[in-house]
Amino acid sequence: MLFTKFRLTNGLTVIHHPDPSTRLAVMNILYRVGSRDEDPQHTGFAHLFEHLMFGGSKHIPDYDSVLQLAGGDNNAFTSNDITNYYLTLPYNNLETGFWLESDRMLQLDFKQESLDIQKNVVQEEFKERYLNQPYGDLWLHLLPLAYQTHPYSWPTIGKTLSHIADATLEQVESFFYRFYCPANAILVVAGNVTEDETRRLCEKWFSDIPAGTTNPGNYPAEPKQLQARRKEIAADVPQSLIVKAYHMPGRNDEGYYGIDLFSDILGMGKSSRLYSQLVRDERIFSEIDCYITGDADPGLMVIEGKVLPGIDPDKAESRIHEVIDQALHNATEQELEKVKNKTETNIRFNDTGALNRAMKLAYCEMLGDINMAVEEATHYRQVARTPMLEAAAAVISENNCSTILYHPES
Amino acid sequence: MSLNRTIAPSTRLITSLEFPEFTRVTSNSGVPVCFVHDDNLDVLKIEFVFEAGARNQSSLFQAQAAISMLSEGTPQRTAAAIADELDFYGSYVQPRYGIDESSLFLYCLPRFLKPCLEVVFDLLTNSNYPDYELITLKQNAIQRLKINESRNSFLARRGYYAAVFGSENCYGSSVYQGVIENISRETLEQFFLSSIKGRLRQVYVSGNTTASEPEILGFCNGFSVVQKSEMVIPTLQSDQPYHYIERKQSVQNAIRIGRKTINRKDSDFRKLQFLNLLLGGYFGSRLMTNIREEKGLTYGIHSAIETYRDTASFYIETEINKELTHVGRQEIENELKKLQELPIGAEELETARNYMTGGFIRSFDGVFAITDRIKIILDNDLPLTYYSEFIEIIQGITPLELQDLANKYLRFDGMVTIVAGQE
Repeated sequence: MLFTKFRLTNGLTVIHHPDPSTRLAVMNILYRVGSRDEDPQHTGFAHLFEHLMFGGSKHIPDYDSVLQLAGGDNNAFTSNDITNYYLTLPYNNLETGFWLESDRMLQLDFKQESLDIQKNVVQEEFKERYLNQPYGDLWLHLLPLAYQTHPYSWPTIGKTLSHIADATLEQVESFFYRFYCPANAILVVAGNVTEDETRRLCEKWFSDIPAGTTNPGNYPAEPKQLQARRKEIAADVPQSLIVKAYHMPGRNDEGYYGIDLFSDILGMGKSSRLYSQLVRDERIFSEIDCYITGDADPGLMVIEGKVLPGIDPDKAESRIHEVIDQALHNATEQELEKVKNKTETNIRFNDTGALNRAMKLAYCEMLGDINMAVEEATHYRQVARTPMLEAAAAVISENNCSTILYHPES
Repeated sequence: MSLNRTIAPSTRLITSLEFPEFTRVTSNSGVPVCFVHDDNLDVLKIEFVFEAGARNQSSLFQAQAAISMLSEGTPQRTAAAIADELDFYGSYVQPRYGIDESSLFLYCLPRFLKPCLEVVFDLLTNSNYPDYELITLKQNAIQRLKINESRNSFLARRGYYAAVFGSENCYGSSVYQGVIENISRETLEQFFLSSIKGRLRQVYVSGNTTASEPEILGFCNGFSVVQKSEMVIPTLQSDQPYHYIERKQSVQNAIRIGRKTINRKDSDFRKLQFLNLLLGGYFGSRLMTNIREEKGLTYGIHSAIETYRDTASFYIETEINKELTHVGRQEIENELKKLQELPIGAEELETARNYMTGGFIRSFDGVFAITDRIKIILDNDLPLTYYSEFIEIIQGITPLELQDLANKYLRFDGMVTIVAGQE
C-alpha cells in the first residue's frame, strides 16, 4: 500500500494512494467529529449533520446530481469518533469531486427546509433500525449503563427521537464552523491519479478555505468501573438475549490487539470456545457472538447470546463465565495461531480496492499513526499468548462488566 | 486569478468497456472452471456451484437444510473437527442456498489452498447429516424464524413472494415452523445424493489464481459435471391486489408493491433495468426524491428487478412512517403513473444515463466484481458484448421508449401491494 502524505498551509492533511490498475478515482474525507463530540442534551447531531451535508453548498445547490452527472457515486457514515464521506468517479472526472467536496467544506447552504426534512428522515431511520426491530433498542440501554461519564454513553443515532426533533438551524451552523474545516479534515485521494495531479487539484480547490481549528479531541475519561452493573428489559421478543460488555483498552493502547484476538478465540466462527461449547455441544444458545466495538477511546468487548427456550438465563450466563474462565487459563498456541490466520485473511480481503484502502488510510491517520494501515497485520502476528491472556484477565471481570438480560414479557 | 467556484469542471463520459480477461478451463471430468486472475491480491475466493436449489427439492426446506449442513459432519470428520481445521487455516467456508442453484464459497489464503480443498472435498462427497447437528439446526432455525416474524420487512417480503408467484412453488413458498420441525435426516441425505454428491455445475476462482490451477482442476476431477435444468416452473399471481399483515405495536410499516416481470432472456430487459433505475434504483430516483427527500417519510425506498432462471419479479420496497403510510402508497402509485404519462426531461435523463454508465466502471472494478459479471454472462449464455451493448442501449434510449416500457411493464393495476404493520 504505497502512499504519500502532505499538508496544505491551511492544515488540510492530504494522503495520496495510487492504484493504476483501476479506472476509478476515489476521494475519502474524514472529519474529526463524531457522536462523542455532542452535547449530552443534544445527541444524534453529528449523524443528523451528515445528512445535511448533502443539502446544497454555497455554489452548488445539489451535491448528488452533480456527482451522478459525472458518473460518480458516494456515501457517508458517522461513528462515535468520525464522520466519513467518500465518493468514486471515473478517473478522468476526478476534478468534479474536488469541486463538490471543497465547496461544501467552504460553506454549507443552511436551509430550514432541508433541516426539517432530514429530521424526519433521521427519525424514520431511528425507528427502522432501533425501534421497529426485535432487541433493536439494545444499545440505547447498554451504552448509558456501561458509560457514565464518557460521551460513548449514547449511540450515534442519538438518545431519543426528541433530541433529533429539537435540533435548530443555529446549532447546525455553529456545528459546521466548529468541525467542518481544513484543519479538522483528512483527505485521501486514491486510484488512477498521480501525485502531481493530486497536489495540483488540492492547491486549486482547497487552499483558499480558511483553516479553522483542529478538534483537540479531549473527552472526560470514563472512571474505572468498580462494580458489576445489570439491567433487565422485558419486551415482545421470542427468546432471552444476554449481553455482557466489558471495558477494554482504546485503539492505540497497549493490549488492544491481544483483546481483539482473545475475543476471536472466544467467539469467532464455529471452532470458537463459546460457539462450540454453548451452541453446538450443550445447546444452551441458538446463537452466540463475541466482538469488540473498536472505538478510538477505550471501547467495549461484548458477548451476546440468544438463549434457547426452556433454558434458565441465569444458568446460561453462568456457563458463559465458566467458558471464559477456562479460556483464560488454557487457550492454546494453536488457537492463537488460528485466529491470527483468520485475521490475516480478513485484512487481505478488507484491503481490496482503492476505496477500502483510502478509508483505512484516513482512519489510521486520524488515530495518529498512518503506518498502522500497512503494519496492522504485523501487530496481530506479534501478539504473544501470555501477555494476551494477562490483558484479557484484566478486562474480563464481573466488576468491569455491564450485563443486560433482554427477555420475553411473560 | 482567483478560483471561480460557480463553474463546474468539465467532464467526459467513458463509454468504452473492454471485457476483462479470464481463463476458462474444463477438468478432465468435464467440470467447467473459470479463473479470474489478479496478481496483486494474495487471497482466493472460490465458488462451487451445484444444481441444488429449491427448484430441485421434493419437499419444503429440503434444499436449504441440506446446503446449510454441508459442514456439519462426514464419516471422517465431526462438525467440530471440520470447524477446527477450516478455521485453523484462516479460511471461511460459506454455503449459500438459492432457489435455482446453490453454492459453497471458500475464502482462503493461497498457501493453505491444498488442505482447505481436502476438507471441502470431504464435505461435498461424504456429508452425512448427523442427527445431533440436525436437531441443533432445527432448533436454531426455528428461533431465527420467530425473530424474523417480528420484523415487518420480513413479513412483507414473505407475503409478497406468495402473492406474486403463488405459495405452492419454489419461488413463492415459505418455510414455517412445522416444516422445520418435521424434516428428517433421510430427506436431507436423499437430496445430498441426488443433487450435490460428486457433481458440480461450475466453479469460479478469483484472486491470486496462478498457482491454484492444478490443485483446483485436480479437485474437480473428483466430480462429474451436471447441466442446468431448464424446466419452467409454473407460477400464479394472486388476483387480490392488496394484502395486509398486521403486527401490533409496530412503529413503522413495511410496504412491498410489485409483480412478475421479464428476465434477461427478454430483449427489453436492459431497457427495463434503466427504467428501474429512474424509478427507484439509485439515490436520485423518482421514489427517493419524492418520498424521502421531499416528504421525509422514510429512511429508504427503492425498486428492483430480481431475476430467476425462468422468471423475475419487479418490486418497490420501503419501511415508512406509520401515520402517513397511505400518503406513501399514493405517491408510489403517482410515480408509476408519471413514468407512463409524462416524458422524462433531458437533464434527468442525462443524469441517470451518466450515473449508470459510470456505474459500469464500478461494477467491473476489481477481480470479485468482474467475476460476478462473468457469472451472469456464462449462466445466462450471454455474449461478452452484453455490457458494452448495455451502455449503447442506455446512451440511445428515448423518453418515448421509456414511457412505452412503463406502460408495458410498470402498470400499478397489474401489481400486488403488501403492507405489514399497523395501517
